[in-house]
This record gives sequence, structure tokens and C-alpha cells, in this order.
Amino acid sequence: MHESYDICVIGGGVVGTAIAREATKYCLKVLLLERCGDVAEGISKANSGVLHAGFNVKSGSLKARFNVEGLSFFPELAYQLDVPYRLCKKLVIAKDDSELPYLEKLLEQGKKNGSPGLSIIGEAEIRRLEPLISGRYALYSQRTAIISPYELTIAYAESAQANGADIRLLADVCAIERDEAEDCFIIRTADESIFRSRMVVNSAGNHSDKVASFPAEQKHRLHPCKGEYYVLDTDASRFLKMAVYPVPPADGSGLGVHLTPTINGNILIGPSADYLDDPDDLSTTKPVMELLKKEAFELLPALRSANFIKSYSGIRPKLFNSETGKTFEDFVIEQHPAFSRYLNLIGIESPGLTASPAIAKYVVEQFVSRYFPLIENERFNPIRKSPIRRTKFLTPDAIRKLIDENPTYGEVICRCEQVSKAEVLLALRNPLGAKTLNAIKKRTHAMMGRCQSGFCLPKIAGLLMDELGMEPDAIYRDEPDSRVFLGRSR
Amino acid sequence: MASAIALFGMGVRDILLIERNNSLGGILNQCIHTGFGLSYYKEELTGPEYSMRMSRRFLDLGIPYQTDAMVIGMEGDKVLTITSECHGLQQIKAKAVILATGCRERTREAIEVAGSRPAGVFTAGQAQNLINLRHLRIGKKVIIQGSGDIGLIMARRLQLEGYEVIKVFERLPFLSGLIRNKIQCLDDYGIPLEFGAQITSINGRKRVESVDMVSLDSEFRPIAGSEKRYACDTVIFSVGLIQEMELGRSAGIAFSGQVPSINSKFETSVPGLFVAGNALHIHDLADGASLEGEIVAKSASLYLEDRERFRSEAKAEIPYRALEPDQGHDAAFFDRLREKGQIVCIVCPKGCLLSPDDYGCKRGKEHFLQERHGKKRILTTTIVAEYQNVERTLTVRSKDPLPFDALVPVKDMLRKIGKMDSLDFSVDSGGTRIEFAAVPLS
Ligand SMILES: Cc1cc2nc3c(=O)[nH]c(=O)nc-3n(C[C@H](O)[C@H](O)[C@H](O)COP(=O)(O)OP(=O)(O)OC[C@H]3O[C@@H](n4cnc5c(N)ncnc54)[C@H](O)[C@@H]3O)c2cc1C
Ligand SMILES: Cc1cc2nc3c(=O)[nH]c(=O)nc-3n(C[C@H](O)[C@H](O)[C@H](O)COP(=O)(O)OP(=O)(O)OC[C@H]3O[C@@H](n4cnc5c(N)ncnc54)[C@H](O)[C@@H]3O)c2cc1C
Repeated sequence: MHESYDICVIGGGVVGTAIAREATKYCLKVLLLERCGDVAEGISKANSGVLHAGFNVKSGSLKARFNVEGLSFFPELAYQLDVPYRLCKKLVIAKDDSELPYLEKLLEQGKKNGSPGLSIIGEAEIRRLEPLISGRYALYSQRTAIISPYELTIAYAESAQANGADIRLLADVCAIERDEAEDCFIIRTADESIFRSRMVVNSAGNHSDKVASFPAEQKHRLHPCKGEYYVLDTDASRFLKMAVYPVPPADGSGLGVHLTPTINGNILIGPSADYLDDPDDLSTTKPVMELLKKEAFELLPALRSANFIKSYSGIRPKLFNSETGKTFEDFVIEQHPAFSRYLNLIGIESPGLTASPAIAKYVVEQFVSRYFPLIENERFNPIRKSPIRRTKFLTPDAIRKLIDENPTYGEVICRCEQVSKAEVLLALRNPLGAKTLNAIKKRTHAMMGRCQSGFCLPKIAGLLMDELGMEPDAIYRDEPDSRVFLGRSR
Repeated sequence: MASAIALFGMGVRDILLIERNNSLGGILNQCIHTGFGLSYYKEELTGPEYSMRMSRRFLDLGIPYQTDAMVIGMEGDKVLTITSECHGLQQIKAKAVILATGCRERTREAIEVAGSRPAGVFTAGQAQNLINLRHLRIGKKVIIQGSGDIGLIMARRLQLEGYEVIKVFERLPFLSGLIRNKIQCLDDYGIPLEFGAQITSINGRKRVESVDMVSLDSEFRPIAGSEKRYACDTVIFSVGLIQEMELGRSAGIAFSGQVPSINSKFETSVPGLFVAGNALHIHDLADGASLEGEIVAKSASLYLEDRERFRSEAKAEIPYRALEPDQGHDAAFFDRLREKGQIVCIVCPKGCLLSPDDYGCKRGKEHFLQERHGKKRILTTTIVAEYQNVERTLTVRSKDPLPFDALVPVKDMLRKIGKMDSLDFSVDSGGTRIEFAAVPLS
């Protein structure tokens, strides 16, 4: 007997986990399959982390609709899921008069889309809001916020799991076929497990075109488009409070290189936009790194080289419209041409993070409801508490109390990000069972500071071996077989 | 520790030393090689031996201290917030504070290395800790970027541990570490060093598969056509150290560039807040860091005792010289050595050039003649063994230099020691007894 489910979500990104959680609000048997060793290992771990207000997207599109609706779920949703959220606000800067019309267009589009809290401001007001930023005009968005995208994804997943969903990590779906007799899909993973589900929701991010074609060919093709970033040390956070964007480039590739504060107190600079062939090529490139540095120094002359602690990249799942040749393409959320119970989500690029709760609601209410009666799950608990308290953000009194309850909160493991042993241990014992170094990073921020794990990796490796009994060669960075150690020498 | 001991010697009694590691000694504990203490203790010691000597003295004096305790914040009025598992959260107000918080390593970002971020990328000190203190195997085929002392020391350590060190790249046109370290860490093992070259990109998705490198011209611009790819599974960066000054920053001290601004008394812009050791500027020798700790202790003691005199003596001048590598140790220099048949003395950090006409000193002569006969080297390594009924990690050194070819076999033999009764012990190697001294690290 193979395990049998009502809905199988493929992909543990912010969208897939949101859908899984949404589905657990009803009496449905839900499975989520993720190929990596943790959720939030795809696009959802490498983006700007902005909850967009919704003025950048074409009116009348699904993007516009889900963006504005998605935003309206926050900050309530962030509180329910215990995910750090900050209303940082945003400025889109026009350097001179010639760029003002762009701002006016954005403002008008925003109003049409129903995005709240927008106005155009002048030089003096810009200086008052962000003293180190200069510009002639700015579109000032008071509702733009930031959130930790991976912590949101983890929270959705933990909430879904607590409400009854089955979450399987290291489940790389490699084939799906229809079993007409049983009226279900047969889903096979690379480790030769087999699952049965009456409905499939493909939310595989940059691989969603491939997964869409598993049961039978379909027409959508993704064009991976890389966005590289630099991360600035938390020390630089005093330079900037708001997200600061330029007027976006006319080619529609993205929103232009921008400065975004993160929840952890870093600043991101990026992303670039370059098309590539390999949807998993997360390398950074010298020309882009140099360009980003240059732009960062221009925007914030007070920066020092030592403030640039890390570079990384994320990949946008872009769709092209072959008929119009234009790059703006809407989210594709539609049934497979051959199988109505196979729902494909393709091209969920920005603002997919912001839109995630709205997309999830739409998928369940519009599609799942066609095949299953939506009977409310009375035991659904919307509240998820993060098991980990980040001492870095607590007052001395709060830390004292925590240490009194759990003394291991007193031992600092990661110096740069001030992460205690308790935080690392709780992350190691996460309910999803993710055991990679990245899993610890995303839950605690250990290894992500200015020394980039120089001091704490030995300690964390020690905890993985001592507390979880892991062998050194089973300690992976992120993907299976991304071995950090080859074994012991003594 | 050097500061605290000196303060105690000057009659200051209300001292507290706070250390976030689980033992005293700082970075020395992982530096198991010899090369420490020649000027401070007049004897060549390993890092752990140096640290043990100093901590014995420190503990004998009964100076209060806490380990496993981290200062997580400091205000301008010198109120320190400390957390530890054992004491919880403490807030302490001090009349004077000496920050001797050491340094951290620069990472690949310091030289803008592009490419992927797979497993297998380490900094040298991190690799040192993982290998020496955790006994982890971090790879097989290694490329090292940076010819600073830590990079050189690690090249030898890896080679002894059975790794293949393919090459060391250095961006500068000259050696950045001590010349004796190039001789005894690279040349002894035939590890090539390329000046004016740097890794530009790391390739591989799960684990490092290769690196791309390029040669640089005198302005550090890449030379077109010089790109090469090297297959490897491990990359180690030894690209400089950077002061750990977050506490100074949170207390609001002034900086000049990266470096804390201080007066002639090692006092920062916050009165009564002093800086010493690697936290202030990078010392290539622990001895220098210790001596500086003593000098700073003197300032701090005067500050506590007689504020007026302290102020009148404090001048606006920098009381130390920042470390500059000797620019003369370039490729041409090493070519000349080879041509002339000169050898570099590795007996002390001076690195004299020895020839039959000029032995430098008595020990230089002994070394020169011995090199002619067959190289001998001190063996340092770590072992796991039972000592005083507890299984521990111990660092071990041979009391005398061993024939070069015996280093690896003897090292492997040491691994089989299950139990030791004394920290001074000997093993039998082909009929000769070899004496060792050990320091327990845990
Ligand atoms: C550079 C950049 C910046 C962005 N900035 C923002 C922003 O500021 N605000 C915003 O709202 N949005 C932003 N976005 C968009 C947002 O990040 C994405 O829309 C969102 O993260 C997409 O989530 P997802 O779940 O669809 O994809 P992913 O997070 O990629 O999840 C898909 C998952 O499917 C898994 N998978 C793939 N194939 C298989 C298989 N065969 N079997 C099992 N699992 C599989 C993958 O491992 C992955 O974990 C940005 C995107 C990029 C690239
Ligand atoms: C790999 C390597 C090889 C070397 N080789 C040699 C050699 O061969 N010969 C030689 O003479 N010298 C050598 N040195 C140099 C020498 O070891 C150092 O210069 C010297 O040990 C520095 O001492 P320090 O006390 O300034 O710093 P550290 O030894 O780094 O001590 C600083 C201490 O402060 C603690 N600390 C920092 N912040 C906090 C906080 N917030 N709260 C509590 N505690 C904190 C740290 O945990 C650390 O223990 C080497 C150094 C390295 C790294």
C-alpha cells in the first residue's frame, strides 16, 4: 500500500507551503514534497524580502490582484505565524525631473491596483526621511514592509505540519502519471518512494515548467533570470531605514538595483538581471559584483569595503509571451491541459512572496473546491509559535529571564550574530526535521554574520555530532551530498 | 591575561577577565605549531604551551575570571552586559576596560571571489580549528589563497595530515608572512607558491570542484590570457585579519579607518577604555601582543590611580607601528637564494640568510650544518588520548627535531597512543626513543 492523499503540493517554497497550510484549514489529507533537505531552499531563500505595496505591477493582472490582496493579510499573518515583520516603508527615487513621469505612472498604476499609502514627495522630504539618500522626487510608499522570506516559509510549513499536513523533505519528484482506475496520480521520487494523490499542485518554482510536463507535455517554458546581491554588515544598518529603489529599467527585467533593509538588520544591494540557461546556477559574477559595489558606494558613500560581507544570487522564473514578445507575463495558475486535477503554478516571480497568502487562498477556494467539499477543519490552529527566541533582538531583562529558564541561552555560539547555544539546539531539533547547516542558518542567522562562520562552524559542527549523533560526512551545507567534512582524522 | 597579570603586579586587585571561549588563551590554543615565546619566554614554544604558561601564572595569582562568558554589549559609560550559561546575564560597571578581543579573518568577499558557494570553502583559522581541535577531515585536494603566516602554517599542517596542497596563491608580488614559514611550510613539502595571482571564481554546486585564477599586474589588474583552472575540492582563504572591535563600536569609540583611534596611552576616545593586542593592530607574534598587554596595563593602572597625571602624560601620538610585510621577499629574492645556495635560517623569526661565510649566530651554524646533513624538524600534532582517566585532545610536540622523513610515520604512530600517564612521554621508533611534551586542551 502506498500512502494516499487528497492533495499533493510539489515544492516547499513560500508559495507551496502557503498552499499546504491553507489546505489544512479544511478536512483534507495534505502532502508536501520538497526535493531539498529543508523548505525555503529555492527562490524563497534568495530574494529581496519585501512585502510590496503593489504599484509596480500591471493593472488587471493576477500579479496586481494577489499582490494587493496578499499584502492585506500582513502584518496579522506575521503575528499569527510569529515571523518577524517590519513596516520599513519605501522610496522610489527620481534622480531628476525627467524621471518624474515614471513616478507619476507608478502612482497612478498603484492607485488603480488599490495599493495603499502612496504619495509623491520632494527633495526636502526625502532628506528628512532618509538623510543619506539624495533625489529630486520620490514615490513614497508607506505600506511597503519587509519580512524574512525563509522564516515565513518555515512558519507556513510548520503551521501546515502542526495542522496535519505531511511534509517530506529530500523528496525529489521525478515522475508523475495518472491512474485512471484509482482516480488519482502516482507520484514517484528519486529515492523510489511512491505517493498517491487525488490532486496535484505544482509549485516547483524554477522547475515548475518541468514538473508541469511530468504527466504530459504542456506549453509553458521558464527563462531563468539571475539576480545577484551583496549583503551588507548589520553595522551598515544605521545608514538606512527604508527600502530605496531607483526608477525601474524600461526592459521590464526587474525593479532595478535597490537597497533593502532586512529584518536581521543587514542591507541588501541588488538584484541584477541576467538571463541564463541553468535554473540552478546560483553563482555570482565578477562584473556584477563590481557594479553592485560601485552603485552601493554611490548611493551610500559612508560604506566601507568591510561592510560587504557576502554575495549571493536568486533566480526569477520568467515567462515570455511568445505572441506579443513582451516580457511582462502574468502568473500562470491553471489546470494542466490534459488533467484537470493537476494544477500548475508557473512563473511565480516577484511579487510572489507578498502574494503567497492570496495565491494560497485562490488555489484552495477556486480549484481545490471543485473536487473536494471544503469542510472546515475544526482543529485548525492559525497560531504557530517559533520555538526559537532570538536573543539578539531582546532586552537584557528579557535575556536574563530566558537564561533563567534555559541556561543554554547564555552561551553564545555565533559571535557576530549573537546566537546562543539554545537557539542553535532548538534549530537543530526543528519540527520539519531539516538537518543541514543552511537549516540552522535560516532559523537562527548563525554563520551569516561578518565572519561568515569562521568562528562558529566548528562549534555548530560539534553540536550536530554530539547532540544529533551525526557523522561528520553526513553534515551537509544544503543539498544532499554537499559535504562539508569527509570524516574524522582521529 | 598579560594585562591582567601586569595589573595585579601593580597592585590592582579588583580585576575581572571575561573570555567567551571555554578556556583561556585565545587563538593560541589552536596554533599547535612552534614559533611562540622566543622573546617573551626566551624559549620556542607551541601556541598551547605559551598559553598554558601564561594561564598557570594567571591562575596562581587567583585573578577572578569567567570563561564561556561573552560580553554582548558595552555602553559608553563602561557598563558591560555579559551572558553565560553559568552566571546568566550580568551587567557590570567598570572604572576601566581593556579590550583585548583579538581579530577575525577576512573571507572570500575581501578579495571579491565570484562563483558558486559550495561546501569546501574555509578560512585558514577556521580550517586550523576544525583540523586541530575537532579532528575533522575537511577535504583532500586543497588550493590556498594568501601567503600570510596562517596560510603557510596551514599548508604544512594539511600536508602532514595527508591532504594534497596543490598550490598557494598570493595577490601581492612578495611574501606576506614570515620567510621562515615559507621555508618550513612550503619548500620543505615542495608546495608551489605563485605571487601576483588570485582566485577569481569558485566552481561546483555541492562541493568545490575547481577554482579559476588569474595573474595580476603591478596595479592588481587581471592580466588577460593568464586565466587558469585548477581542480580541487577545498579552498582555503588566508587573506588577512581584521580587528574585532564591535564592543568599541557599541561604546561609541572613534576610529581612523578600521582602526580604533587611541592616544599614546592606548586609550580610545572613551575615557578609561583601552585596547591591546590584535584587537588594536595585527601582531605577527604572540610575544608582541603580550608585551603590549603589559604596557596597556600600566596605562590603565595609572588611569585608575592618578587621573590627573594620566591626562598630563597622554599625548596625541600612536604608540605602535602597524605591521608591514617585508616587500623584499619576492620571486627574484627566492631565485637569488637558490642560485647562491644560501639557506634561510628558521631557528627564530628573524630569518637570517646563512652561508658558510656567515652563519648569523651559533644556533644558525648548527642549523646550517644540520640542513646539509639532512633536514630535521620539530613534529607538532594533536592526539586524542586518555589522560588522568578522561579522554582528551592533547597537542603534542617532539622535544627535539626529528629527521624529516620520520615526521609522518611518527605522527601516525602517535595516533595509536591510547592512554598516557604523564604529559612528558616518549615513544620508540625503530630503536630510538623520541621524547614528547603534551598539553591537554580539554
Ligand atoms: C531576485 C528576486 C527578488 C525577489 N524579490 C521579491 C520581493 O522583494 N518581494 C516579493 O514579494 N517577491 C519577490 N520575489 C519573488 C519571490 O521570491 C518568489 O515569487 C517566491 O519566492 C516564489 O516561491 P515559490 O514557492 O514559487 O518558489 P521556490 O521558493 O523556488 O519553491 C519551489 C520549491 O520547489 C522545489 N522543487 C523543484 N522541483 C522539485 C521537484 N521535482 N520535486 C520536489 N520539489 C521540487 C524547489 O526545491 C523549491 O524549494 C523575488 C524573486 C527574485 C528571484
Ligand atoms: C593561525 C595563527 C598563527 C600564528 N602563528 C604565530 C607564531 O607562529 N608565532 C607567534 O608568535 N604568533 C603567532 N600568531 C599570532 C598570535 O597568536 C596572536 O598575535 C596573539 O595570540 C594575539 O593575542 P590577542 O590576545 O590579541 O588575541 P586573541 O588570542 O584572539 O584573544 C582574544 C580573546 O578575546 C576573546 N573575546 C573577543 N571578544 C569577546 C567578547 N565580546 N567577550 C568575551 N571574550 C571575547 C576571544 O574569544 C579571544 O579568546 C599566530 C596567529 C594565528 C591566528
